Amino acid sequence: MRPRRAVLAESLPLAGLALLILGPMVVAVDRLWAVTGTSPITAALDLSPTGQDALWTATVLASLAALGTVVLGVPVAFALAATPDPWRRRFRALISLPFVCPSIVAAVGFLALMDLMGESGQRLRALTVWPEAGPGTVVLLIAMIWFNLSLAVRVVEPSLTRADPRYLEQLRLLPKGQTLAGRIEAWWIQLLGPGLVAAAGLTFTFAFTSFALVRWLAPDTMTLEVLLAEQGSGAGIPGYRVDLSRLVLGAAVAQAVVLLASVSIINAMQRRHAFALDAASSEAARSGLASGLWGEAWLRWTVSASAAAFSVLPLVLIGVGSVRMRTPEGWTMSLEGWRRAFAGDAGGVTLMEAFWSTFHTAALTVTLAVPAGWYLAAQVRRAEREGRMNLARAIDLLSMVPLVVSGAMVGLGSLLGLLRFAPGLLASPWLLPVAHATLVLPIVVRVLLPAMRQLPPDFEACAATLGLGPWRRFALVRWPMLRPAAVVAAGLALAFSLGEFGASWIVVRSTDASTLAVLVDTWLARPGFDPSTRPAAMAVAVVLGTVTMVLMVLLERWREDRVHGGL
Amino acid sequence: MRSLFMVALLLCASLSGCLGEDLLLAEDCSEFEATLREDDGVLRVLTYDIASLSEEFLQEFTNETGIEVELIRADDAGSILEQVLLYGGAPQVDVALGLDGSYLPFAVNRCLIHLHGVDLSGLDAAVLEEGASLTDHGVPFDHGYICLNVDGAVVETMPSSLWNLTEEEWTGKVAIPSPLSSSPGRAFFLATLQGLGDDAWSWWEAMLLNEPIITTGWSEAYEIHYSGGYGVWEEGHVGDAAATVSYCHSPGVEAYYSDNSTQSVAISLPGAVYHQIEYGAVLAGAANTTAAEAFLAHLVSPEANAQMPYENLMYSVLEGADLPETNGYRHHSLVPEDAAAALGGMDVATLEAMLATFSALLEG
Repeated sequence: MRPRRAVLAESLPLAGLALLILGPMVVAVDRLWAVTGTSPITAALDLSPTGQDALWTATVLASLAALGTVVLGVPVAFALAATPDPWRRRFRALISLPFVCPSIVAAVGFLALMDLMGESGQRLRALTVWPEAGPGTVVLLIAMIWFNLSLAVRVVEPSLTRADPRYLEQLRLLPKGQTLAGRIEAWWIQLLGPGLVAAAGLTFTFAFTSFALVRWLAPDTMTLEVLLAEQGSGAGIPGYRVDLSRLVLGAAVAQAVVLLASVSIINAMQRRHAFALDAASSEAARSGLASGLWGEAWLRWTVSASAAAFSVLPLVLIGVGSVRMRTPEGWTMSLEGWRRAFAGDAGGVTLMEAFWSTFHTAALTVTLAVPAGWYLAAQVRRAEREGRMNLARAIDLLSMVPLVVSGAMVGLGSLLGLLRFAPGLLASPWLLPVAHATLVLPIVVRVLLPAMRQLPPDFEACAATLGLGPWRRFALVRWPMLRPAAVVAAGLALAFSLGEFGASWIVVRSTDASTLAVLVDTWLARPGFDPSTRPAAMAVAVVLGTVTMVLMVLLERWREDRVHGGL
Repeated sequence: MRSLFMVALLLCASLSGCLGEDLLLAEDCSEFEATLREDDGVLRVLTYDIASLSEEFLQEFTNETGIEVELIRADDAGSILEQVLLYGGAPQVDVALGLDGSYLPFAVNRCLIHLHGVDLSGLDAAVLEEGASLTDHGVPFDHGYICLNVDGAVVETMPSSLWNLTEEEWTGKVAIPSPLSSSPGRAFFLATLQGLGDDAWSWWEAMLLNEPIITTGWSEAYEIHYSGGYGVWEEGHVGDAAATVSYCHSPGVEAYYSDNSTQSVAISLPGAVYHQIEYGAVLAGAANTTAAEAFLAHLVSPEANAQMPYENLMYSVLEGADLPETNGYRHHSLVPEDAAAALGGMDVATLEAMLATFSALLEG
């Protein structure tokens, strides 16, 4: 039995983190409940037609995006797995770029793509998935699939390259493996099914909570996230638009319920996927199942190269858009957009100011998120080792809460909480990093926890036997073995913070800070009478996209074969 | 996960209302006392992305007065008001800049605005007259007229009445920013209420049956849907609306940036024109009201305010000021003779009820 002081020392940070994660949500719900006189459950069950439409729209669009991602991602993954190195790695890095691309940059990329498509781009923009969904929803759906394609690829492709083909050959000798249907049921669904469901679940979650893409590609479309972000600032004010407060409360609860279900499925499927991958892989297999698949070279090269080109095209076009400016006579090439972005004229923040502010925020985010995520993952692992599975699950779920809570609720709760308890902190430079760190915490934990689970406890036990204290054990045993995972977690936190838009958009409205992502939005939102405003937005997007993606390409070199993390 | 959610909800149930401060509203401003913001030597200005607040403007003000300025940028006028209301009597900023005559009364009604002492003597008499009910609380710093803009290249016969827009010829061809979320949209809504009187709701009912494109903001209506504006050059333009709600000088701005060329025409229809005046207001509880008033005085100084048509694309409030003639800016702009203004004698509670009615009408 551990001493009480040790238990207390371990529990206090946990309580602090729980307060940080749950506090804003509780404060926001409390205020909305008090203002409306309606309980959260009643508000959700009695959602107004606007809220119901937003829920329906978000659910259908996210479901279609999840389906499309899987349907397109599987053949691309098969083709990629059969493509020889180094092209396989190159194509995979390119296909992965959209997933790490800041959402506002993706939105700008698709705007640039439609612009260069001319009249056909205009026709595409007018298309709607279903009549009430609003123009732009077809483009939005394509962008959502583009964004998440690498999720499906990341699941299927390693399974194909690592799985031992001898198992499949053995299966062919059994009665079940005589038919294609039998092999699909007994092998492929078992090998790929859980991972694909998890990838679909993640796509659903990201699409369901997408804000920047909907805001700019389908601005007439109202999803729950857009409703909460755009209308949330008017909620929680006593005696002012009480119907709006009720709508926001109900929408937030409805969103949390949907995301809760989605995240639960993802969690369960990720565990099954990891198990299937471990069971089917073999150290002996060099080329895996891929060697026997996609025998037609031209086909796999065409599919892989097309997917890579599709992934990169919108990003390349942002660069073109940043130097393309309209004139009364037609289009011309000009650096005026870049000049304005750097000058920050017309009252705006300059590109360099936002650049340094973004890096400052991202660095603070990493400083907060990685130790906090490490601590949470270590607590989960400790509870698992001690057989306290309920506690392990509770801490794990606590770390996942930011995934299911609307950024608008966190923003509102933080604002109200700070106004009530520490108004001076509203102007604090830590406000945005704390929000980013809270939001990125689930990702950090998801990367660190599997790595900790794979850490053999014997090493630390040996080190303890040799007389090493806790700090030296950490420095000489745990840290070297977990460093790759920690670097990946830090990189992901950094990339997330660099491109984060939703929470920044809400939080910076109470501070004088800005970020590159918010600056892109600010330029886009300006009336475009002056022809250089749109190129200026593209110029900022080029900088943000380049910085983020260079970082992620470097990180990809760490990830490969070093980290057995999540997706 | 389920248990965690329930714990959170139970926690909320037990705390409901006790975390929040007093939710009662002040009924008499003489009894209302705001909590003073701690003076940290910096003037904090809450505004939207007002282009005229350039680095040079702020630096000039700091050089003249020694007062540092920090800008807090909200999304739009509605967001500014909501943040001011959310602060209640404990403001975290000193100045709210950009509330127009349809938003400022909400803050005034809650005693959240300090009566300013800025000298308004050099400002346009018509602006001061139309904003008379608010100029004790707010300093007008720019203005403009809201009216319908029509694509002259597409529309052969210009509408002569709002009722024309409810006819089949206009089905699905009018883009209107929602009065629930857009300040020009709210201005247009107020124009119809004040201009059409008892017929206003009949018109809105008929209009909503004619499939108008209701957008969340001005940008979506003008840039994406309106076929007569600069949106045709922008990425992802749809162009399905031949008319939209914008400013009466929007065609002038189009021309200014396009070598005196535009196909957009502003029209003045009865019940569709609103005189929008934007104000800067010192908040009750501001850390340094003298500095706040100095900032507003600087904003309406002849040197700074004369730049409004170029930098903020709005009229200057200076006496005798007009739009520049350059590139047809003035020529293509319409100055309507008759326009609704402020709340037109309506109180804020009535406007809120009207907006709720509109919301219900919209949801069918």
